[in-house]
Amino acid sequence: MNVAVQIVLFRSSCGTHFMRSILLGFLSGLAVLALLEIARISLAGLSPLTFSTALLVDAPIYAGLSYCYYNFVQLGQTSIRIRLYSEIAGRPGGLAAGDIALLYNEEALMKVRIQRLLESGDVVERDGRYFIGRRRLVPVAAIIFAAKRLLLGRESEFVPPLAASAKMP
Amino acid sequence: MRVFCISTLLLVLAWVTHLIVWRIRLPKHHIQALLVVFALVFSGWLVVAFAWQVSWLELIRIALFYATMALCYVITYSAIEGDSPTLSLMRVLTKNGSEGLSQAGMDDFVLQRPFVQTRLAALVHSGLVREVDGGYVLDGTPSLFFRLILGFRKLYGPISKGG
Repeated sequence: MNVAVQIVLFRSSCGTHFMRSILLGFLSGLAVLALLEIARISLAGLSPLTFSTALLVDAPIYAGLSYCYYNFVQLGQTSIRIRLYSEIAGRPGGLAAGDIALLYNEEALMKVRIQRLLESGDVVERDGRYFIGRRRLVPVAAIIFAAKRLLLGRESEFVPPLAASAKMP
Repeated sequence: MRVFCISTLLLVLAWVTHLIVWRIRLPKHHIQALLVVFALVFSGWLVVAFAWQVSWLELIRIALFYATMALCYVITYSAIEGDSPTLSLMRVLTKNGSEGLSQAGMDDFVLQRPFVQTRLAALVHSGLVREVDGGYVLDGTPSLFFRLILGFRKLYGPISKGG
């Protein structure tokens, strides 16, 4: 239900409002899960305690699978790796390094990302400088970078540990 | 409650094992190694489950819960392993606080993070793509995972270029 609703909503909005379709798809699936659980109580005569403990397993499974689905779809939307693979796979003779640089210019790609962040309000521009706008991605970034330090011993695959803590102009 | 507790315990055990292994030595292929860790921990549990004569229904529910949470972690780990351009930028902007980031700073940010080159290198490293005479070709049979994603994209209709 989650997947079906999400695809229908996304296509009907002509490829815009991706997150809205994800959220509505999730809520639709959640509604179906709730109905199924209620049906289970009615038919199997489960006690509220048994029902609660069953929900403790079923709800996280549904949420987890929804998260997996969201990331699976998101890969197709924004993953550079997927796009590169798609481009190379689409050409029988492969793709020259120069053609890749033309198609996926680093600067142009970042401009697309920044534009997307400006449109969503996550980043704002004032007097020629960029600032954090909506703070919804800030805790996500904080958690990811803390995990990088814990698991990988570094903050970035590009910036050395000392430079990573320095501010940029 | 038993299903939830056992599944959670297995996940914690798998994560601790993962942390210990990573501290000893970072694997060459992180995601594959992570999947092996999760699989090994669950295999160990299966031996215990058969010895305890755990019911099939309970076993399936534990497996479903464990596999789902493990998959969630593996997916999240890919964001930990490789830098996300978006989250990296958010990190830099957060560090800069009220000072913000100038256009020159933004240009430096882009120069210091060649995301396309590293993603290309990752495709070569994972054996999906091969470098030949200054170009890149698919290496062997296309990955099932990539085919699934690309096939699923067709359900969405055309997507504009860009990352």
